Amino acid sequence: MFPVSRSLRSDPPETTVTGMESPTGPRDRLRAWLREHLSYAVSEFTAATALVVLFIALSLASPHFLTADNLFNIGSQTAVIAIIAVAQTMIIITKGIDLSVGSVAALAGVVGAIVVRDLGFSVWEATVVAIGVGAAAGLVNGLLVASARLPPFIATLGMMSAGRGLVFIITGAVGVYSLPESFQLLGNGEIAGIPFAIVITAVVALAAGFLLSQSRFGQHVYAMGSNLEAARRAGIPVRRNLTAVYVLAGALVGLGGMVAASRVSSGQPNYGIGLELDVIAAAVIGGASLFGGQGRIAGTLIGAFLIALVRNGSVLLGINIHYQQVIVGLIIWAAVYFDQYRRRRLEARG
Amino acid sequence: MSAADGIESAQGAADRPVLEARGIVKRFGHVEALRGADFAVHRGEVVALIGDNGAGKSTLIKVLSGAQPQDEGEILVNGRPERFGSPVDARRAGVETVYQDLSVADDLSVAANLYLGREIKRRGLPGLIGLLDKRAMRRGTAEALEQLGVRVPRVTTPIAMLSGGQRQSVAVARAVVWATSVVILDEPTAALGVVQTRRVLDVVDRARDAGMSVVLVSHNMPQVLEIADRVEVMRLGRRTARFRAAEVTTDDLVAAMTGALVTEPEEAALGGPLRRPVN
Amino acid sequence: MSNNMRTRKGLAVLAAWAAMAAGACGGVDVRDESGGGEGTTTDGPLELAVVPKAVGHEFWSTVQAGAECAAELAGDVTVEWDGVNAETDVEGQVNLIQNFVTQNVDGIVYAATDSAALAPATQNALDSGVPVAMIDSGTDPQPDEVPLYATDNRAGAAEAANLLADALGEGDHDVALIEFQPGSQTNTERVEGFTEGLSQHGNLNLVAQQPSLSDVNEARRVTEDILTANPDLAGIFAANEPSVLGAAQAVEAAGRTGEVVIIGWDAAPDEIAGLRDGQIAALVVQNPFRMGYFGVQNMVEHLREGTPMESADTGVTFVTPENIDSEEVKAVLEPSCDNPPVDQ
Repeated sequence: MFPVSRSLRSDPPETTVTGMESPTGPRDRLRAWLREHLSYAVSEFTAATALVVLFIALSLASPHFLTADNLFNIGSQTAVIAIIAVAQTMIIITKGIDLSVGSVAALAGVVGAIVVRDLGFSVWEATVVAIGVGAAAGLVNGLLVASARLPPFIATLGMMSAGRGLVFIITGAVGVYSLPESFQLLGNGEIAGIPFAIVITAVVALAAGFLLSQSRFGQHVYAMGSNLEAARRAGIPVRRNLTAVYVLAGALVGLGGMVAASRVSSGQPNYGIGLELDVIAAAVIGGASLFGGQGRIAGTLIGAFLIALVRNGSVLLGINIHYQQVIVGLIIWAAVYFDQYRRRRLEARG
Repeated sequence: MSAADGIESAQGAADRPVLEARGIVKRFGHVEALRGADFAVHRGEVVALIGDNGAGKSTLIKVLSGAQPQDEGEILVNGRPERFGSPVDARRAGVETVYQDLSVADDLSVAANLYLGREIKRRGLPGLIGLLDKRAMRRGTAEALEQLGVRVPRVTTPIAMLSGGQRQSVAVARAVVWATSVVILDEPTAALGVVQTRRVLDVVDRARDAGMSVVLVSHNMPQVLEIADRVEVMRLGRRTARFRAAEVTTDDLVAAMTGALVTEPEEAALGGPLRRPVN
Repeated sequence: MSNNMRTRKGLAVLAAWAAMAAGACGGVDVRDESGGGEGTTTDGPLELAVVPKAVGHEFWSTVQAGAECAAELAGDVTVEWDGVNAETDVEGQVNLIQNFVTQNVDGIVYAATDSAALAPATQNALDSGVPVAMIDSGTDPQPDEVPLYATDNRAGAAEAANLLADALGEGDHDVALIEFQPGSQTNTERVEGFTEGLSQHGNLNLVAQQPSLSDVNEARRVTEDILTANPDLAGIFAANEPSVLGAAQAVEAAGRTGEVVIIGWDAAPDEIAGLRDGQIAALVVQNPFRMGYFGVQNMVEHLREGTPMESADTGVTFVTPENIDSEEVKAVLEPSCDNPPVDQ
């Protein structure tokens, strides 16, 4: 590149700055650092603060909240939503949205249950099948978005309907029961005393977070969501990458569907109706922007656990479900308002 | 050698234009946007491409940057014919373009934008699985921006937090850094204020000083005369005039744009008043 | 531990109760020969739309079996079975009913997802000359000529409270209610029936009430949290199939099977398995087969012979580990058209 290949070899050009502005001093640098870090993390920070405050409040309000059993319960209960919210986050970063996660999770779950019940697959083999089902659905979504150029909302709306229909066709609209005890491994098993579902969630979140923040693919995911045309002009294979994001997300949704089925030891054809709203809420609360280009796995996990705490706390304190829904709605409003506020401030000064 | 010599005698290998377009024809349906357009830029010179709206500047830029392949005619880079089927082909040949609408990703940092699509991966196994060497990219960005005199708060600052001039400077810097032959700037200062425009033009100056060739599309005649070494004028899909910037006035340029002044012989044969190119 | 002793004694009482209740609910005669035909009668093949609240649960599949059985026995009757995906999709069901009216089917037999929202749909069908029979859940208001073949949810849920009281025996006990779809007619009836039944037992204290939204995962989640918040919980009434399955799983996961008595509703295979395994003490089992069967049978008679349709209670059966293998319970649990659980 330029400095190395050409100018570094030649005489160094004049570096004395004669521009019209004052040079960047240490104070300006500090201010820039603060602005960069604080404002970009503000929604994540807000959500994290809310999470901590809620956690402390619940610890004080209920003697049963701060117990290992309850915390493990919350972890297991949140596992599926968290895994699928990770998938949703990747898609939201590309400026997309996936409405089909509930249907695809149900599809993967019932297929995973059926291959165990009818074909004698082991739970591991069934998990691979479920991930494959999810990835296949993701591939269809991805091709519709990246190649057929359908808006993600429409592409995944179709998959939401078609996927649910397939679930009912495959199951005859009846739950898949009579599964062996081993089927419960993913949802109810433990590793060294820690619920397996929590371990899976942690692995998925770490891997996805690392992929997005450290890899070239992750960098391109953000670039595509931020400015698709710029990414295309920069030579990024946007069609292939976009499809890959949907496939990857689909695979995670398939895994989530399998964990959900395992947890209730059955394939439920009605599973996941409305799930897309929960996971979109988790991602948005955690700082992902529906305008694309922004979102982090850590934020999404915070969002998922914030919602989970509201629900857990409501039951512990005997609060009616309708209030829970109102509270979650308020949190979504607050999160998105902060997001917009932050963007407006940026644009105002930019 | 001076740019003007290049106009007159482009036969020797040393005089060969870095980027040359010959007889480019581009049709959109029945409309001929380019009707045998010619264009040339030599090493280390800034050439302004001007023309009235609809003269074919934008189309020519799109052809030269690979965004819209031509129907007829040829493009030569360092004398070698090249076929630009896509922007990637053009970039491979060393031609970088900064488009009118910013071609940066707002949510990415300055460093990430500078290396967009050309990220440095880590060595060894981490690199094989696609992990980025962010430190190397930050360092490379800082050095490149230093040399081009582009000042940003930090190379990790997202582009969205920069001023319009800083953003455009980063976009231009990226093109300059990666180009090996020519940088094409399509209206780079159209949306900028005076101070910010100054900044971008400083980057262009420094790029020329470093031996880079620059094609500048602009509507701003005083700016063209200030920054460019030469001016090529398009009208009705063809090149109709060429000038050395130091020897013309804004009035000449306007006359050329409206067809009142023609320097190209074949254009004169078509009926326009001929005036010798200013040497 | 005395708690376990009490539970076991309670279960015996419960079994006795269940047997009585099952006997009491045996015979329901819906034929009504008194009314004469008022409308025109239809000859030839009939096409009936049968619409459940939602597809996807064992319960509605059994309704479908009953409807198809009645159609088969009547002869020359086609059942168009179609439903929305979720019970909450009220508007979807309104549209579905509208579509069947537009198709001009001979009659519509359906279960309303929302009693008020579907009332105009029913009226519209009648205005278009398509007779309607409701199954499981009616509309409000319900026109006189539209019958309802349904479980008396209120009475069944009140009995569930009695079963719970008997299973738990003397002393004060904390109990919880897992409802399913707040706002739906059936849910409201069961919740009110249960709380009314509970009011007869001063020693039972309702400490938690949460909905499952008819989702097993959600049922499991709320039950887990209820168990966390109420370490002394002794009994749970779960008001439909997904609620029961989730509650049983939560109790088992918490290692409190046997300590927490679960009275459930419906009879999905895993609920029956839970009953046999001792996770569930008793199930209030409706007769969905009879709903589908009565709906279609009476509709066909109405269309062919002009017989007015009269509402009927389709009854509930209380299934316990003790009576589960009896012929009578078997006929309800595994209905088939060879031996339909209806009185002919």
